[in-house]
Amino acid sequence: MWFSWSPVAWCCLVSSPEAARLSAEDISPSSNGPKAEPVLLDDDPDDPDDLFAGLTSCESIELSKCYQEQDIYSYTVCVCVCVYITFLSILINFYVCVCMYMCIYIYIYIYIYIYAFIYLYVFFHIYLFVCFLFIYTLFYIIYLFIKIDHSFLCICAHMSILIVINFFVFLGDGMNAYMVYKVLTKTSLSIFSRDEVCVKRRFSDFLGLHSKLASKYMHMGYIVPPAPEKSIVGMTKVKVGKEDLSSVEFVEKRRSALERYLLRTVKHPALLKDPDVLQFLESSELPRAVSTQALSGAGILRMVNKAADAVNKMTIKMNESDAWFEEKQQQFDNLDVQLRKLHASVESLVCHRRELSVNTASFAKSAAMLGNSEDHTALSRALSQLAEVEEKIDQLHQDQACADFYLISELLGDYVRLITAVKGVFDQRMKTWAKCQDAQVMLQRKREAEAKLQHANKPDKLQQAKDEIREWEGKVQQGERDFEQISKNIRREVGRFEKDRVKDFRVVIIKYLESLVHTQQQLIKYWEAFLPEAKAIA
Amino acid sequence: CMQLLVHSVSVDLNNDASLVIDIPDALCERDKVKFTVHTKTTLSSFQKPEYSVQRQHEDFIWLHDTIVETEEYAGLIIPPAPPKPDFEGPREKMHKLGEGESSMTKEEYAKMKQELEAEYLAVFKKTVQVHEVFLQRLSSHPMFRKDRNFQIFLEYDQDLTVRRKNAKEMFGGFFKNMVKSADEVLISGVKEVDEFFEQEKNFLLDYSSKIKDATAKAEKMTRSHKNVADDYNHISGALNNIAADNNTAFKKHLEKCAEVFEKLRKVEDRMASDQELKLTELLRYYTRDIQAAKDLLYRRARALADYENSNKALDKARLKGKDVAQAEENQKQCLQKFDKLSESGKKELTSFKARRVVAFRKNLIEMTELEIKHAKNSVSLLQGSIEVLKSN
Repeated sequence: MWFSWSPVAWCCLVSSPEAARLSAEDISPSSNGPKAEPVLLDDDPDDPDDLFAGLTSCESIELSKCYQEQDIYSYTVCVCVCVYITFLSILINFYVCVCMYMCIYIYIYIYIYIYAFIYLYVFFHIYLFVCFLFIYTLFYIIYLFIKIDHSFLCICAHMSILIVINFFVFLGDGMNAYMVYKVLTKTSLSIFSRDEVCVKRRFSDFLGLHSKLASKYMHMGYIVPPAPEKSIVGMTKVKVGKEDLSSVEFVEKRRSALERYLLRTVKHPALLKDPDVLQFLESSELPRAVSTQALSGAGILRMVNKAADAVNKMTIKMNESDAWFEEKQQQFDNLDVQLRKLHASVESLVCHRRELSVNTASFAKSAAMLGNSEDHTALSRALSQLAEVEEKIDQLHQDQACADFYLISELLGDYVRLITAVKGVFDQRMKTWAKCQDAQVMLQRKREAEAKLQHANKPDKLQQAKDEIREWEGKVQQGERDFEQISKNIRREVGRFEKDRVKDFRVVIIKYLESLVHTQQQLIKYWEAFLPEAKAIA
Repeated sequence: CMQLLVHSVSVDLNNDASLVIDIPDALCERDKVKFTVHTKTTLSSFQKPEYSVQRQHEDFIWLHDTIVETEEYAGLIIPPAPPKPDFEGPREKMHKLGEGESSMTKEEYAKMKQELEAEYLAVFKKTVQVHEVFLQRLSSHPMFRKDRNFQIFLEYDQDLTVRRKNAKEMFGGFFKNMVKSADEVLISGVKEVDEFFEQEKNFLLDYSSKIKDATAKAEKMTRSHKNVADDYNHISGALNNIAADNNTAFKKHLEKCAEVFEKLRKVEDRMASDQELKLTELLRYYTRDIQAAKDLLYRRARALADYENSNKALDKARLKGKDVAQAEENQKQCLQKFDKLSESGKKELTSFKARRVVAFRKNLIEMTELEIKHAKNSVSLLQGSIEVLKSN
């Protein structure tokens, strides 16, 4: 029966490489079109109780032509192989069945036992054959399903969720105006009530979601992705002068930051199942998150808490028993410093490239004027051509600067903020430990008080003291359990964070280098077009 | 500072083997640059067939000024004086490097030092080239090569000890310049009889302002390009720092990325400096050359004004009846001078245009070819690294 199993194995082998394929995409932030960022969930054998461990985030904004061709080619191959194997197995099965039946017919009168055995064998064989047919049909249906919707990169049984932030409108007027973002969620996960939901959200709604998640999960040791920062200056500029370039850029920056924030949030397995997140993505009406305003009561309370935390951090001296935590904390401190430096360098690169583009444009204009005033006709023409080439190059530099920014600079900014969140989680652990220590101290004190009361012989107060001791023993136990839990959670979260970080960086660097290649190739094209013009100067 | 050995860059000015000049090396001492001027000649007017002398920038300026002041060469376009060697950029960087030494890691410091040395070298090469071109233009011109001062410049093996202009002379020079520009304005109102010169005047006036503008913009552009290249350097350093902390396979990945950025920086730097050498230098040089052509026109216009004045003086003398012969003599001289200037001026301006077109063509072609070459290099470098990173 070995030949019946091989088709299944072959099919799995063919389809698994598809899971890891990424495509080079062309980011143009000037277009307000949908930017699809499907998040795919894998079954990771490493962590069996974590259903959504080992997530891959793939970005495909506009599938490049060559990817589509490759795609169709491999899918066709896959289907052909499946069909071929199906027919082959049908034929072989049929042949075997016929043989078997002939044998049965011949030996039915001679060996009744063999007849029974053969009958069972044939039956089992047919059953297997029907199963495989069913599986093949299933594969084919899934393949068709995916072929129709190009946003998904993998075939086989993968579930996915896709979030796109699109379309924003300005509501209200004057200084009370606010931006409304349309959040579109496309998913096949069962926890969502519908396949496709579209809701309208304000920036303060996002901040509200983050604060809710932080209050629920931070103290358990989960790394909650930080929300994009408020920017009063940027928003005011947009409200006042809606048309100019810097406000368009600001809005685009914020839109993509919010998109990345949501994707990161749903990538986290625990946060994905959280009812607040589901409500955020699905329900059409959301209670206005007033507590996120800077000058509200909750805002001021937050600031006071932050100050208190900072003071506490300095006073708590934790007795670190676990070397892993100490090492990781040191590592994250270093990483923070280095990432900030890298981010600063990348920002300066973006700035300088923008400058280069501006200067190239002004040089192009100047060269055009020079060409106009030149009286040697061939040279004049060549100079005008040079001006045109420089103009095209200026546009190229601008696009490259945008790529620099959106690919790398924003990602680094996100990671700098994420590391702050990670450090916050470590601080939570310290706070839990401190609470545990306090509870132990209290327990000790209660025990001493009880001992004293025993000597003083006051029966009613003794009972109260014993009750208190029991209560505090319970608290100490709870504290220790909490500490264990948070340490375990942190270990898992940090592991997940590191994996994600490595994956993200790898993907982004390759994409960035590809964008650089594209720019250089365009440069070659432009200069090669100019060369004959330069040679034509007589 | 440093010593530099350069090979002669512009060969086409050395076509005539009877007088071949080049600057094979230069020494930089504190603020001064000492050029070694090497001459090979077959002309009889020189005492030896080969000379090698040390000259400073001030000596070049002295030579230029004496040629400008020579009456005989009024009808010729005098090659513009080479600009003073400008080490301001590298010096600023060195200062910044010294200040920030404590806050940088060893690798960063070494990298910045490398950058600094490269920039220094570039400025050095440029200034040597400019001085060389100046001498070569003098030597290739049939009239200038016979100049006595030029010969002294090439021959005299001691220090020329050109006396630097003291304060009075500097002020005098400045005053003269002001008078000259005022004069230019007055004279540009003088009616031009010759069609050719009228056209040339209009063209040169317009062109000079445009080319000055283009030079400034080109300078800014190449400066930004260099900044971008420097940023790649910093990114590479930062990536190396992050890699040093990671002790996994990711570390190799990061180190490869840092390497890519390092190499990319070199390519971008070469692109920027080639663009500067070919395009910006070309524009700078021709700005000065156009100024020299304008000076020629000015001298001619001055001669025309003198001629017209002498005419008026002659008429007045004829009216008054005295000093007529003197006035006539004066007028004849002025006319002669004017005619001579017009004739040689026409020749010079025509050859100037031809020379300019050829230089633009050569430089534009070279720049384009170099840009294509560097872009192709960077494409192959990036594609190779992408392959390596993807396979990791």
